[in-house]
Amino acid sequence: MGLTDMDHPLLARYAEIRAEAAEQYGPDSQAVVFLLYEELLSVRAVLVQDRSANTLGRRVRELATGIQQRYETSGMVDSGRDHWLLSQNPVLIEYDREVFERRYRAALDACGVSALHLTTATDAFTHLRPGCTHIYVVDDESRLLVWPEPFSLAEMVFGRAPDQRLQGTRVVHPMLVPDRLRVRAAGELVVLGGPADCMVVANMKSGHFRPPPACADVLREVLREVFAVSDEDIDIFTVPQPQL
Amino acid sequence: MSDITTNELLRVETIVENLRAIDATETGQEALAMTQAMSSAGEHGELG
Repeated sequence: MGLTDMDHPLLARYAEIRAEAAEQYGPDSQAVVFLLYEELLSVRAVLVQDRSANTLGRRVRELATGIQQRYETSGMVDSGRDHWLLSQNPVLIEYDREVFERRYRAALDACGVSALHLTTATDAFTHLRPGCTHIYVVDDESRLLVWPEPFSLAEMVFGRAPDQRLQGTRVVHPMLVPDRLRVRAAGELVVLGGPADCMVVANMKSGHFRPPPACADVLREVLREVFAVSDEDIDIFTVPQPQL
Repeated sequence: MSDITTNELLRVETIVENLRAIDATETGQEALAMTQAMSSAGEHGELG
């Protein structure tokens, strides 16, 4: 008899807490989606150290499909107001200068942190925290820019709920490109493993730029180049465009 | 069991604790029960 998913202690534990969350908050709740996403990160963290673990490889594919399906059925709440598409192919999105200066300039100047331009996996593992969520953009020069401070689970949950803020400065994607406010992709990114062998999980969640699914191609190309990884070591989740 | 699996199992328990802490906040249950919205409509709740 072959090894089943439930024989792996990590998969079994995630299944247990996901079932509890589904019962408490609902099967389509963001609590459940977050747990699926965290399971993907855990499974990839183990898999990058033991690439022969077929059970985990299969589970990565199941999780990727399940997460994307949930993203497809949730979608944007609205279309946003302060950004516009400058170009369709390749995608180029610009954020409103006046709104940025009024809403975010002071916070950016006060926090004393700026986005890092990552050019290699060594760069990434020197400056980012593996397994943790960082926000990123691909700018108009196709550079990968990442905010060095990771986001906590609470920030991720409350960042998605109206009228909830944590104390302190809230970092948003336009703050990564204050000079030109233009991106080709934007979202959240997690690196796993180490500089010699790594995997990357990313998405297109940016309420300020609302990147269309086509941005995934841009990001994939940049990740291949920066991290020297193949497509099987990259997950990119896209967000459907709002219904206008 | 490998060290990385052990570490990830410990991380799962931290996630559980964090979820409980969020649940205990005033609007935590509501936030956790929301469907996965990609952005809120409010200026201050807008996703990065």
